[in-house]
Amino acid sequence: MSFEFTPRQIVALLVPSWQSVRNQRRNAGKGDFFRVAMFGSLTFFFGLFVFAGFYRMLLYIGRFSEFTAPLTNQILDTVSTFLLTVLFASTVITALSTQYLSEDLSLLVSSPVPLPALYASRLVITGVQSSWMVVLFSIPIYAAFAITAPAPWQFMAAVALALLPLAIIAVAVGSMVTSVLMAVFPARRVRELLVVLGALFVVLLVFLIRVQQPERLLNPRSIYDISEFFAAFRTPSSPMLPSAWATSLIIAGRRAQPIWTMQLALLWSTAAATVVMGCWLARGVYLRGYTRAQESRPARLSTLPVVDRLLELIARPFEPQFRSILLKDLRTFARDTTQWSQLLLLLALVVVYLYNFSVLPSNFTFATFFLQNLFSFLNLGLAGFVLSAVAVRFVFPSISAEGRAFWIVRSSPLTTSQFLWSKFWTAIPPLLVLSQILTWASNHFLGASTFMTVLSAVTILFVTFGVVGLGVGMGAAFPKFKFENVTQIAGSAGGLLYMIAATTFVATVLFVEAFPAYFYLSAQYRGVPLDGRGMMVVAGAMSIVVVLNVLAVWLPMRWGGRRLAAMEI
Amino acid sequence: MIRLSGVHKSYGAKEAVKNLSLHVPAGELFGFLGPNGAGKTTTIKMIAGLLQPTSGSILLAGHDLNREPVKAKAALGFIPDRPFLYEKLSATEFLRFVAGLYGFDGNGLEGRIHELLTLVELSQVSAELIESFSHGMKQRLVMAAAFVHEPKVLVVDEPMVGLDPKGARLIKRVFREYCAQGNTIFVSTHTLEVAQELCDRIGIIVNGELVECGTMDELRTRANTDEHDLEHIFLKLTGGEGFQEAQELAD
Repeated sequence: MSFEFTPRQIVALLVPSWQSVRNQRRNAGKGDFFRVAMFGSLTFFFGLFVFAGFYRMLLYIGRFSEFTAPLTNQILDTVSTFLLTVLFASTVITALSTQYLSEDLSLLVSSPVPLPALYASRLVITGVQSSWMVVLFSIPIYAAFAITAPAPWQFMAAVALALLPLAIIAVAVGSMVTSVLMAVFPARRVRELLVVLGALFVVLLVFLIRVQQPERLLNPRSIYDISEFFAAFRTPSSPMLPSAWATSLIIAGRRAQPIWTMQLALLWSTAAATVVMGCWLARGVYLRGYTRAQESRPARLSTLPVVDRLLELIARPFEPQFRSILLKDLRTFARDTTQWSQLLLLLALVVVYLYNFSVLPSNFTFATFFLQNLFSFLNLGLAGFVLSAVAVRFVFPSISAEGRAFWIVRSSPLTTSQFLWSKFWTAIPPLLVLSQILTWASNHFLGASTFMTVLSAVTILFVTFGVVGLGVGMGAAFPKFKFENVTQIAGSAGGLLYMIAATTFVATVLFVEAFPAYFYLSAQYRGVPLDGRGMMVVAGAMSIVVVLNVLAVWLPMRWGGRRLAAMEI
Repeated sequence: MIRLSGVHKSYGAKEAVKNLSLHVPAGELFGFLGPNGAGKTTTIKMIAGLLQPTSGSILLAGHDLNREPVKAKAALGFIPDRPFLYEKLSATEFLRFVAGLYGFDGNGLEGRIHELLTLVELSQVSAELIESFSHGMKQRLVMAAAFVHEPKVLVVDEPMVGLDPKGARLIKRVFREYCAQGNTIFVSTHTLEVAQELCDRIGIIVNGELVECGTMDELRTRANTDEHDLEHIFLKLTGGEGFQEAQELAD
C-alpha cells in the first residue's frame, strides 16, 4: 500500500458522483422540478427570516455605541463556534454513510486505488453533503453584518477565507472521529448511536435556544438582554479553537485591518494538517472499519419478552390481518433507531410548544376577553400545524416504510383498501392523544374560556382524523419504497405536497369555524344568549367542518388506494 | 391451476410480453426459461399480482386475478428472486405476520411455523432479527413463508439464487413432494440443470413470446436434435448457437 497518490486519482474517484448529479438533473421530471422549487422557496424564505432576525438585532445594538463593538464581536464568535459545532456533528453522521456504508465502496475498495486517495475523495463528498446547508444559511447572517454597518470588501473576503478552512477542519476532524468509532465498534451499533446522539444534539440545541427566550431581543427593554442571551448561549471559547481564529480574521476584515496573516496561516495550516492526518489515519484504520461495516450484527434476542407480550396484548382484540400489520409496524418502530429516535424530536417540539405558552407575559391572563379567545382560536391553527408536522414524519411515511418488502403485502390477499385502513387506525390513537394534550394544556396556559377550550378540543379531534387520512392517502399516492432511512420519506416531493395539503386543510377548517366562534363570543361578551340565527350559523359551520373532515379522510384514502393498487413494483 | 389467456404487457412502446397463453395443470412443475430481458420476471410478477397485464387474464386455482384478487391471491405462494424482508422482525415473527395476512391465526399456527423453520433449517435462529441473516438464510425464510398458508399454486423466480448446495437440494426435494400432493409450481430459472432435473414441462420465452412449450422429449424433437442436454436445446431454440460457438472458439 502506498501513501502517495495524485490529485488526478482523487478527481477520477469524484467523477462518478458528479456525473450522477448531472444525469439526475438531465433526467429530472415534473416531480423533481416541483421538489426543487419547493425546497428553493423554503430555503429562500428561511434565509430571509435569518437575515431579518440578525439585521434587526444588529440595528438595535448599533444604537448603543459603547456596547456595539464588543457585542458584535461576541455574536460573531458565537456564530463561528456554532458553525464549527454543527458542521462537526453533521459530518460524524454523514461520514458513516459516505465512507463506510455506500454501495459503490465495494467496487472502489477492491480496486488498486491507494486508501488515502479513496479517503480523500470520500472526504470531499462528505464535506459537500454535510456542510452545504450550514454554509448556505451562514450567508444571510454575514450579509446582515455587512449591510447594517457597511463593511469594506475585506469583510466578505475574510468571511470566505475563514469559513472554508473552518469547514475543512470540522469535516476532517468529524470524519476522523467516525473512522475511529468504526474501527472500534460494530457498524450498526455506531449507526444507532450516532442517530440517537444526532437527535439529542438537535433537541439540546432547540432547548438551549428556546430557554434563552430569543423573543426578548425584539423587546427594546434593555441592551443587557442581548448580552445575557449570548453570554448564556455561547459555548466557552478558547483561543486554541479554530472558531476563535476565524472570528479574529472576520473581525479584522470588518475593520479593514491588514493583520490577517497569523489567523490565516493558523486556519489554513490546521485545515491542511487535519486532512493529512485523516489520510494517514485512513491508511491505518480504514480497512478495519470497512470490514466491520460488512459484518453482520451478532445474534441477539429479538426483543424483551415483556415488551413483546405487551404488544401482543395491544393487538389481541383485532382480526388477524389488521393485527399482523399492527404488530409488524409497532415492532419495526420500536427496533428501528432511525424511527423511534424521532420521538425525541417530537417530545422536544411538544415541550417547546407548551413552554411557549407557559412563558407568556404574566399580565397576559388579564388581557381582554376577546384577545384571550382570539389567541386560543389561533392556537388551534398552530396545534393543527404541529399535528401536520408530526404526521409528515410518522403518518405520511407509513406506506413507504414497507420499503422493498412491499411485495409481501402486494402478493397477499390483503386488499389495498384494508392495508391503508390498517395504517390509518394504527396512526389515529397516538395522534389523538398528542393533539388533545396540546390543545387542553395550551388553552389552560392561555386561560381560555370553557367554550373555546371545548371547541378547540372537538375541532382538533376531527382535524386529527383529516390530517391522518390525508397522510395515509397521500403517502399511498406518492410512495418512496427505496430509501436509506425512513426520515428521507418526509422530505420527498410527496411529503412537501402533503404539508401544503394538510396546512391548507387546517386553515380551511379554521376559516369555517371563525364565524360561529365570533357569533358565540360576541353574544357572550354582550351577556346575551345566542339567538336562533346564531345557533343556525354555529350548527351549519360545525356541519361543514364535519363534512370537510370526512372528505379529507375519504378522498385521499380512495385516491391513494387507487394509485397504489395501479402501481407496478 | 394456472391459466394465462392472451396476456399482454407493454411499457409505453415496448412490448415486454406478447399474447401469452399457457395452462399449467394441478400437480405439474412448470419451468419457464428465456434469455435475459425475454419477459420472464414480468410474467412472474403478473402472476404474483405485482404487475397488472395490459390485456388478457390470469386465473389461479380457478379465480381471475383481476376480478377476484383476494381469492386468487389466497391460493398463491410467491418466492421472488431477491428476498427483501422486514429486517426488524425475527424469523418466527415474520412467519406469523405472513400467516396473519392470509387470515391464518391461532390453531396449529405455532406448530406449523416451527415445522417450516425446522424444514428450512432456521429453527436455531428463529428468535433472531432477519437483518442478521445471510442472503441464503433470507431465501430459505421466504420459502418457508410461501408455504405457511398451504397455497395450491407456488410461483418462484430463480429458486437457486444465493442457496448453498444443501439448500438447493432441499428446495428440489420440497418442490417435488409439494407437486406430488396435487399442487402446482411455476418456476422461472436460468439454471438449466434445475429445469431439466425438476420440471415436468418447460416453456421458453424469447422477446416476450412463448416460442416453445413441452416436455424435454418434445423440445428435443422440435429442436431437431438428439442432444440430451437442455442447454444445447435451449440455445438452438433461442437462436443462441452463435454465442455457444463463439464460446467454444474462445475456449
